[in-house]
Amino acid sequence: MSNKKEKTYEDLRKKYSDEEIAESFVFRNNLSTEEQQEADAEFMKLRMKRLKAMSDEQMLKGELMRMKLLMQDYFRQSKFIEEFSFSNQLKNYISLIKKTMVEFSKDLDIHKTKLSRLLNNRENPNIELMYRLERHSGMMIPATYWYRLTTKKQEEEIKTNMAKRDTEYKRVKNELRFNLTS
Amino acid sequence: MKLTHRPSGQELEAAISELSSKDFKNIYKDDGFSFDWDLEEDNEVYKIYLLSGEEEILGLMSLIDRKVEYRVHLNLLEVREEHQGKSKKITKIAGCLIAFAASLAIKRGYYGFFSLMPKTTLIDHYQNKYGFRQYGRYLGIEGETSYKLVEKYFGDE
Repeated sequence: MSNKKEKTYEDLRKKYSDEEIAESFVFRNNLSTEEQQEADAEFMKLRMKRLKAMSDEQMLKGELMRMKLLMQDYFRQSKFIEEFSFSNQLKNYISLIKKTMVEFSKDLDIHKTKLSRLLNNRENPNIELMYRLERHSGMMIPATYWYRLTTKKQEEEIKTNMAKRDTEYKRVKNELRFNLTS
Repeated sequence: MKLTHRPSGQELEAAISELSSKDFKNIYKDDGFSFDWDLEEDNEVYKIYLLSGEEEILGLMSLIDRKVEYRVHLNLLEVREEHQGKSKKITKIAGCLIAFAASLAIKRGYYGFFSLMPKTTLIDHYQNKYGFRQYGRYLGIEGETSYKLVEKYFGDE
């Protein structure tokens, strides 16, 4: 148990207005166990009621917002993660919107074979498709996010494809050489 | 995310990350924080700092993940003393921390729901500033209000 003397709301009120306190603090609650249980039970009822009242539209928006923020976290990382490849995120998107491949390919005005190739990593998406995906998501997932998913994978391929690197190295003539001594 | 240096109006790049055990030791001795943050060690505790000065913590927030209730609970929040009140030098510290709690509540599949238990006299201020609504003795934010908070403080990062 620690001995640090904490400032109370009453201490702070001598120096700050309530508005200023609310702008800088959220306090721990000091309810008794009984009061806490009562507050939690009341809360649980209200929370479950709100959850049950959520419309499909509200839930879908919540899921898309989640998808967007998880993508943002991924973009901040330097490494490639397969779960965040373009094709896997597109699969995720289709599953969230609960559409069949045929319906979705029609929505995007692309052939279902092309969609299948994109989902199976046999074709890379073009910029036109990224704009269509942005529009389709109600502007929730920007075209640039789909682009960044693609480029992160390409970057990983550039880094790790040693066979291709060796093949291409062999085709280079007159490479620059530096023999600098300090 | 961006904070604002009040005297100059200049925007300052900031970041939020989880507290290390070394941070806990330093905060205990730090006069800029008046709460006993050691009591929060079992919770998720986050710090906000400037990217240009990582060693100085500007604010702290303790969260509890209540999975069964689909919510993140904001247990304690404190802004460093020099950034409190009328003479504060940097603004938006608490706002960014609260938006961070909202973003976690979205990413964890709670549809952005997070709660706090307010002092009665502060309820109106939390409601007006961030859009909380009352759930019995708790205040909560969810859905659109939560998404807007994230967009307001973090933009399209």
